[in-house]
Amino acid sequence: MDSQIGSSTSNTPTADTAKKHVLLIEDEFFIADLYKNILTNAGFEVALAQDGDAGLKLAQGMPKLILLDIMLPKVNGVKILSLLKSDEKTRHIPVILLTNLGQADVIQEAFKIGAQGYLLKMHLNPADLVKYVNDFIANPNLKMDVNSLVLD
Amino acid sequence: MSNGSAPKSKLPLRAKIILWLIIVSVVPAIFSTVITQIFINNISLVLVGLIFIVLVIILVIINLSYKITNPLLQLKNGLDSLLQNNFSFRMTLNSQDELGQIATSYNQLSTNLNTLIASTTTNLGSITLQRDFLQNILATFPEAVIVLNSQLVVIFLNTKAEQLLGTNMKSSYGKAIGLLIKVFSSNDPLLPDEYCPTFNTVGQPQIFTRKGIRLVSEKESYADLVSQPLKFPGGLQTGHLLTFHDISDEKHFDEMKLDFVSMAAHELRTPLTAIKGYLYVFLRDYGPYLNQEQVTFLTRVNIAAQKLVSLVENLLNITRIEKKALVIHLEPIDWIDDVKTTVEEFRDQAKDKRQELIFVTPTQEIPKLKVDKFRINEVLANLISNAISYTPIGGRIAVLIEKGDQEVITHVQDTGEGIPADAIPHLFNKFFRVSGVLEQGSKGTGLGLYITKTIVGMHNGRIWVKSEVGKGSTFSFSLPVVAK
Repeated sequence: MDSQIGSSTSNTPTADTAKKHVLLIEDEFFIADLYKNILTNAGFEVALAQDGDAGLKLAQGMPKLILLDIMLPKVNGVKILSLLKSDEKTRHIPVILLTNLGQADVIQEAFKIGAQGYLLKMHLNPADLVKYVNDFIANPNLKMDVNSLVLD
Repeated sequence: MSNGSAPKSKLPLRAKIILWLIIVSVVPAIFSTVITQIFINNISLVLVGLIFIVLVIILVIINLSYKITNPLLQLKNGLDSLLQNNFSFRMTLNSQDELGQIATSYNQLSTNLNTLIASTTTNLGSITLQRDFLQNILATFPEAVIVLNSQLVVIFLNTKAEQLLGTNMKSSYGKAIGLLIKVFSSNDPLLPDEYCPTFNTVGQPQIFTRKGIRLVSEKESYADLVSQPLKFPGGLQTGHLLTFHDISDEKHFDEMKLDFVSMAAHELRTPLTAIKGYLYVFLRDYGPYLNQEQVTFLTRVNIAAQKLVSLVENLLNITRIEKKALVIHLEPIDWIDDVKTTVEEFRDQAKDKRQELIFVTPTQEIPKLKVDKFRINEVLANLISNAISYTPIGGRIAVLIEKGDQEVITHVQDTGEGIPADAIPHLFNKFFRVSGVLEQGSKGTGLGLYITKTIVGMHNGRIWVKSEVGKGSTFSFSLPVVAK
């Protein structure tokens, strides 16, 4: 398994990192490492899973938020989402889709299953990523309006 | 027949009969009376007279019957042969009385009939040939042809139409066209009444044409349609002639191309995300330690990456527009604020070309607009990006907002090279570029303004340009003010 719980890169782990535990499920190493860097730098504790199986396993570690890619090896993002939402233990964890695939039907389907946010990586300003993650952790019931999303 | 020796008589038939009756009745009477008076006591002479009278009468009857029945028999035979389509029979009567005239008339009639029927047969033959010829042309005609009657019921389909609809003449004949095919024009159903125009009030045919319609029948196909009313022979009945140019194959290849472009553009997103993201991280961590030149270089990398992002989005927008999948979601927006933000995104780019990029804050109050923020910012970004590209180093770009009548107009003004007047009408067309590929350098795909115009149109706005070569251009677009 390529997955690991990554917190060691953070140079200033604070006392409340447990409250800021984020799971990133992303297979593209460049992108995974980039977002991990950005979030860790902003004070989050980031667990990284590079495929669907690892993601499901790490979700049992009760992160405050899950950032989920859609095109993933082994188990795709939509499937992971439905497994997370059908598990009593993980269903309350807010999930933000973080992807470069903005296919409207897929995203709408994911929102029906229970995704609460959608961010297109190419248009995402890193500073905005930190802001969204903070907002969703502060308010786990936050949900983006799927009708106002810019989809492909 | 051998009446060649029969005496030629110019006397009418009635005169002949009267003459014969006189001969038959008066002559024997006188004769017998004279004989009887002279030889009253001689019974044998009386008998001789009687026999003579009888003989005369028999001769008369034979002659009469021969004169009358012979032509009648000939006439009967002649008519019989006419009935059997034999026109070679000729009556042979040499008398010049009515019977002779009947024979002459009959012979003439027979000849005339023969000529008439011969010519009619020839005409019928050529009509049949012509019909077959026309049907052959229609059958092998590469366009699908459907003929409807005035009730919009199918009365003819050629082979290509059968192929296009996946049906055949037999099962389609007599069906209402609306039941046989469903026609869609950019996803909107098109009703038979709409695509089957009639003659107008002055009898001119009205022609309906529509490109790229979708036909749903036994199978789905795409075609260009030309439909016009028809007058059938006689001019009383009208109908409709529908001609479909099958574009299903082209449509299929177009879709493959669009899918490929879409796939390629999506694939570009991930490396672009990495380039932009790592630049951000790098500048965040090492920015303070870089010298001016290093910052300039990295800023240029960032500008180039941002241009690539726009290019990828434009490619995706083209596929969305072509697939009619570009949708806009309107939401209220503070337009001044939004434009200011977008202008700021180009600050680095303008600064790099030592251009002055300014946003002129409007003095009027600008009403709230309802727009698709993401898409309308693409419009603005396209126009500002063009202005920067086509304006030389040291030029000036100004963005202005003005309140019009029930609309808000936004101008992007530059001091660039300008656009030749003859290019302006084509400027917003897909793939149009002002100069040749080589002259232009790498300043655009010819897609930006087409997309811009499409998005503005989806907002019910207008877009236009004023330009003077050597002085600069002003691109302007309007957005309708939302009714309160």
